[in-house]
Amino acid sequence: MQTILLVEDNEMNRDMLSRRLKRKGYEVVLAVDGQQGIDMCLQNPPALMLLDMSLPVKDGWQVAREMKATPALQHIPIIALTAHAMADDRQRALLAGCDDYDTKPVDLPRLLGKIAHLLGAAE
Amino acid sequence: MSNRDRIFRAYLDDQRQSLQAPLASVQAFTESLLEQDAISQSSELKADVKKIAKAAVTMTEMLASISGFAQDSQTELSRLRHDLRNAIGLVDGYGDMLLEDCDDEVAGDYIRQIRHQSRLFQGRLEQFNLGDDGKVASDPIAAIFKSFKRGIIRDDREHMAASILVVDDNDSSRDLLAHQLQRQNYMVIEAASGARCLEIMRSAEPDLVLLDLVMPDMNGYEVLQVIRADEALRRIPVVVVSGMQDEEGAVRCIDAGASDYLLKPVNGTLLRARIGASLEAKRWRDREREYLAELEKSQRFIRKIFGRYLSDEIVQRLLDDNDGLQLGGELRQVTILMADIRGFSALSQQLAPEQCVQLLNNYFAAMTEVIQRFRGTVDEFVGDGILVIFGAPLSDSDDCDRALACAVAMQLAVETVNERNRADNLPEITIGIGLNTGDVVAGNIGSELRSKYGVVGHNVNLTGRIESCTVGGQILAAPATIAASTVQVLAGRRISVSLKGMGDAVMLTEVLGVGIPYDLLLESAPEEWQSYKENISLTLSVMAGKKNGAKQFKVEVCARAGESLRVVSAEVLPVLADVSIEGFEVACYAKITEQLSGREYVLTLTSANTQLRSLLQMNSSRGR
Repeated sequence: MQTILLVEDNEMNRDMLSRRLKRKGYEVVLAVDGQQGIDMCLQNPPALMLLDMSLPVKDGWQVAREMKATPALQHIPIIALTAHAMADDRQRALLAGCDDYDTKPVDLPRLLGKIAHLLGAAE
Repeated sequence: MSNRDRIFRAYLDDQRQSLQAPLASVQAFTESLLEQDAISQSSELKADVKKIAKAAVTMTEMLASISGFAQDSQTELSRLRHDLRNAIGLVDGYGDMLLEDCDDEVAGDYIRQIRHQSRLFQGRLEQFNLGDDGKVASDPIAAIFKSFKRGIIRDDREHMAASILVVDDNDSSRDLLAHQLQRQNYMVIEAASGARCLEIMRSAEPDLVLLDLVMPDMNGYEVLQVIRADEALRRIPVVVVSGMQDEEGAVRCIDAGASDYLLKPVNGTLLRARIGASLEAKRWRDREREYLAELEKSQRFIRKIFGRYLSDEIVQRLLDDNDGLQLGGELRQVTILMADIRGFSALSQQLAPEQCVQLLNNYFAAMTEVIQRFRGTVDEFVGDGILVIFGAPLSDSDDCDRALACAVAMQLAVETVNERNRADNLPEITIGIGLNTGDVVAGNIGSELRSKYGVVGHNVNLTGRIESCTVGGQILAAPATIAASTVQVLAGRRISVSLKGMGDAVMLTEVLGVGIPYDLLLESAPEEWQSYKENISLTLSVMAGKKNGAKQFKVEVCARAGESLRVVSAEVLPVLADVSIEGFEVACYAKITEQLSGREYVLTLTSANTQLRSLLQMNSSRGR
């Protein structure tokens, strides 16, 4: 079973999205802020990171840049999740090093497609 | 506040309400869900439903910040949009999981409704834009409010939030009430004076008004009086909210037309109950009014469409009968009446166009009146001809009898028409009527753009041919009509004719009158034949169609009775043929109506000019 790390500060969103992913057969571990997300990756690298971009203290853009700058972590695919829908959000996320990008509210089938695609490519 | 600001405020309020409305529906559905056994018996499902409800409440609260936006609050809006997207994702996510977990049908429906409301919300959220104020119309509150209400009706008719107008000059108590109501998911508009209250009631038509009694300028009683005097406003229930603790005041308000009375400070539960009751009562009244309006509209439409063709009685019966309006094609037995002005083509050539129209109008007006009296359906006016149906769209056992009586009454009414014509300096007319009974296809015939109720079929054509055999003042009926009649028919001559498309000869009956209950008789007692001392020679041309044919006959007129001439011919004349009488400046027409004996025939004039008339007159007087 592949592990997805969900980095999300909102408790309800965390609960909801993690449960939905578990139902689809993924193991889901949770981080409540960016730093915790990076730390967990270092301890036990997940197969993929779902990263909310608007996190307190250390935001998603920063987390993505650090991950991709760390040799031990740069192979972990990151999907940026954002509730902003600015035209350049996607561009910014990809520039920060994210491998893909999706908007909130989450369209689960679409997100699952992106996850499967990245996990397939990582194998 | 500047006008621009007012418009912008109104716009923001409208946007806030339109975003809050689907959330209110989501909350309402979660409450219904929690009442379902399938949900309430599972603590996990219950918890997820409550999370949806919580998300909806949170979003509703977030939306309150909209009212504080300025036109340059782009950052705030972006932030709000972000938070709302996050939160609505919860509604979707938990909703989807509930759908997976719960196989209860009713609960499933509620959850799908929640998902629907969520999509509605997301659509509106994407639309919401601070730059949109340019679109707002000149009376912004009313315009926005109305369009908003329409939007709600379109989107989720079943869960339309009621709109309540709160009227109070005191800002804080108005705000308090507005707040209480908003929390109960009503759409709230506010007015700070009685005058503004009436203005908004007229423009925005709220579902209910909460009216403060003590206000400067125009107090609550005065507002109530205006409302009561205005039919449109009277429909909106008014609940009076007063700080005065007296029963008499309450009675006065109810007398003045208020639906209910509440005391300040307003108890939330009581408020909800009273508003609910008043709204429910209004909903029923509205529904009833809509139904009546709809009914009246369709009745007006029917009267307008059919009024020209059908008698009032038939229109009324169509309206009373639910199935009567299905006027699709169907085979029906009817009696068909066709009437024509004899020699009209020739007549019309002698008249100026406006005279011709006047003549026809005199004629049609009199005939329509008679036809309506006998409950015939005027199917068509073609030129000078009238096609009348008895037995469609509604059939009766006496269709045939009424048709016969109508024919006689029409002939009798010609005299009235002629009186009128004489007064208008128009020529006199005579008409011929053909009657036939049989099956026709009746229904709405035509295209979608232009259709009318009518009949088609062989029997219609046959009626036309029977009618063409008549002379002025005559009624000829097909055997089927005589057979179908139950009324006593005073029959004149029987005329055997061969009609195109009929094979064997048909025996037509000349109708001279009908018995009780109609008791109508043609007055034309046959005139005595008056012989001429000297025969008058005439040349007749048999007409093929309405063009003069080649075949000519020389006849000698030996006697006259009214419009009938007894003629002797060396050759055999075609009976019932139309002929033109040659040798006159203006064309004269006649019909060979009867063969009396070997070479003697009756020629009936259908159109004679003064030249011919004076010729016949001179000779006639010589004969006396």
